[in-house]
Amino acid sequence: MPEKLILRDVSVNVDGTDLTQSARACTIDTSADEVEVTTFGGNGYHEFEPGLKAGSIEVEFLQGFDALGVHATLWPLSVSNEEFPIIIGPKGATAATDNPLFTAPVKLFAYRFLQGEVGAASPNPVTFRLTDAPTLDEVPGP
Amino acid sequence: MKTYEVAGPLPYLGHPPGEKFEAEIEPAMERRGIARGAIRVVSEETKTKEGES
Repeated sequence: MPEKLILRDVSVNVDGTDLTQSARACTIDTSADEVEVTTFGGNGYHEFEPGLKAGSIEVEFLQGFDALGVHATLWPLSVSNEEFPIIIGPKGATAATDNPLFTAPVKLFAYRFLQGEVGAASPNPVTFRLTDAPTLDEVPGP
Repeated sequence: MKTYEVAGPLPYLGHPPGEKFEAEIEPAMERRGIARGAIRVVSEETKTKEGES
């Protein structure tokens, strides 16, 4: 039976700090521009090649202002515009062949200080953009 | 290689709060981790690997 993953324990590590228990949704997209290269003498179909690549990681956090929480970790990164590492594990933070850890250098975009309404949790959907190629770590650490 | 302690309430690089660990953390990442209280440096000692002079 092939695995049909149900997300339960996605791990989210931002600049070394484990923010897993503040995150509740995650989307990782790596795609390339579609560059048309159609020429004479073709078969009647447009031809495309992958062009420049781009990658983004969208994580929805539940906002928190406690020590070392979401705000304490993300706000300085948002202000400084520095590059930092992010690690996403589909099934926890332990690398394995069936749990490749998506690791990439990123910069933070779209930080929301506060969002929500009375009586509801305050979501903080954050977009990280890749600044270089990601790697998949399948080897358990020490 | 430095020795660090996880100073905050959240795990850092897979190490639970309060744990000491040895690592080579990239300088900018170390600076940010210390600034926000995630880690603190326990020992600055640089250890050489066996076989190295």
